[in-house]
Amino acid sequence: MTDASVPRAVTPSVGDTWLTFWFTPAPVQPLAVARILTGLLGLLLAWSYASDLLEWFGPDGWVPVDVAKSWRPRWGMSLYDAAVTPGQVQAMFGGTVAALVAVTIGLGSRLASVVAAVLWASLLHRGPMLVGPADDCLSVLLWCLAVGPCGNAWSVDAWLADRAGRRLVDRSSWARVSWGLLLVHASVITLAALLAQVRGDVWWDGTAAWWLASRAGAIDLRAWYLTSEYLLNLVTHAIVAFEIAFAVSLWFEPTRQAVAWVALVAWPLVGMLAGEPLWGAAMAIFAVPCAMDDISRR
Amino acid sequence: MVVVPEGRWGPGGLIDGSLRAEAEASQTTVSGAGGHVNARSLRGPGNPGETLWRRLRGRITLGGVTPAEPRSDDAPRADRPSEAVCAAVTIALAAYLIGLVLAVATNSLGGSSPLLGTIKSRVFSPVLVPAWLDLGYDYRLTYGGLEDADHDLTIAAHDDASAAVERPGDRRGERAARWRRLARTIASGNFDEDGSVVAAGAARGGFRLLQVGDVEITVDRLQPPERNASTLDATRQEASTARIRRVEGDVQLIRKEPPSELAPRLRPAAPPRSSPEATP
Repeated sequence: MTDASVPRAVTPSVGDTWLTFWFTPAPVQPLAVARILTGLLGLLLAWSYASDLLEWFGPDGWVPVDVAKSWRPRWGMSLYDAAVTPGQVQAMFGGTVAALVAVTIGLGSRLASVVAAVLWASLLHRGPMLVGPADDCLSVLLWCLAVGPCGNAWSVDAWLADRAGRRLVDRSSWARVSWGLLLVHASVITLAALLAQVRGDVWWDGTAAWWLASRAGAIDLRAWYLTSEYLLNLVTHAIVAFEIAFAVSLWFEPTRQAVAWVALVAWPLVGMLAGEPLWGAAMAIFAVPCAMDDISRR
Repeated sequence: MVVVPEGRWGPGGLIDGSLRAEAEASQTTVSGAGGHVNARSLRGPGNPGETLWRRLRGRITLGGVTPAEPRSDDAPRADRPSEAVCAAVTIALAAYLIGLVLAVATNSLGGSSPLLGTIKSRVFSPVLVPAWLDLGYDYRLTYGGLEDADHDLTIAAHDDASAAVERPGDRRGERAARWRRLARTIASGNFDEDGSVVAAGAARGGFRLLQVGDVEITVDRLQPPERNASTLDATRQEASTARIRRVEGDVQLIRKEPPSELAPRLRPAAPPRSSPEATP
């Protein structure tokens, strides 16, 4: 650590910046909010599997185990492969849902996050062709939460500790690591999506919003777009502009919280416009800890 | 007003040493009630920075001036992990961030270089792939092309088209989206060259549902209209059709080319009309 007798440099070194960014103790409350929302998102996504679970993964299902295995990349594996009877598939899925419930209510939070992340990854590997952007983001969110003490506030864990007379830490360096990982992923996912989008002409000529609106599950604004081409162009360019602003502004303290608050509304809106509302919700969850940045400074 | 500088409360750092340095710089004097004060000995449970400050207040003055409340970003520093832990976590974080960049670079729509692909597969894939973190995040949303249109699929008994199941049917939301992804995979062959493996696998579900061993699986593409079209209704196009049957336990797939991909039918050239002049 810093030697007291040595005068500190005016400009912080790369090492100092790294240590400050990743290890300055941060409050656990933003992480707790992200945990609750992630758990709820996970339950919604699990619900979308539940009704057709056996039709997909049961014996003689649409996605047989041997076919799923042949599609996986090397190192891909799924605990669901071991489930061959309907009862076993349902039990495995029940375990996944239970882990997500535990994450939501904050029961054994860190362990629950790890278990939920492992089981969720297994479920996705069992049928990779069914996976959408929201599923990917949920996986990332669960791993990020597992790093920090996400159950130290607003959780069953905190309540149990309080009853037992123990006090859980409300600031932690691990919370900061978790916060940092969420921030990095929010920026990287947005940049990667942006780079993929701008390869298409429709994002340049301003007509992407038209094609998005025609997708099932999207808000159909085509009647409005027919009235004004400028409106169509504006919506298309606004999506791109927001993504650029979000990916970049998160890295600057003066703009971080403001853009995160905008993102809490904008990401779900983009998701609904694109027919991927749960992906929009997942991206908003990445922004939650940054939106609560003032708690960190307090 | 003197502010206790950030970075002087780290584990092992001597509070009185840092204060003395500060005092010398500002030509003030330090008086401490307890003399030598070690930061580590003052760390407590809960919020160590605040605890430390509470214990220090009133015991140390700078030239008769009580130091101001520490800045909010000073306090947390006391809770940083040890150097060894920081170093270990730093290595883990750096490794993961490299893996993240490689995952994005090698899973992009534009393909990947053999060099990056080899590095990723040898070093990072054993961790990233099982955890479902080997992702490109290339969510383009739309390019307005055929592959971005909604797809649905129908499985019918080969000899009885009235016995058919449609997916997603009346399903909605993410549940319907999963069936559309399956249909798109069969049509576009994202996982294999022409989607045959997926189609053959999906047909097994059709065998069970329809109680037959010979089915026809059809994927329709719902191509949305251009903005200047006269209607907002999507055009239904057949994107992929295959007959799949079970013969003595083996699954056979006979792919049918959709009409849109067949070469146009050539009309036989009309025989040259004999000109009246040529008629004898």
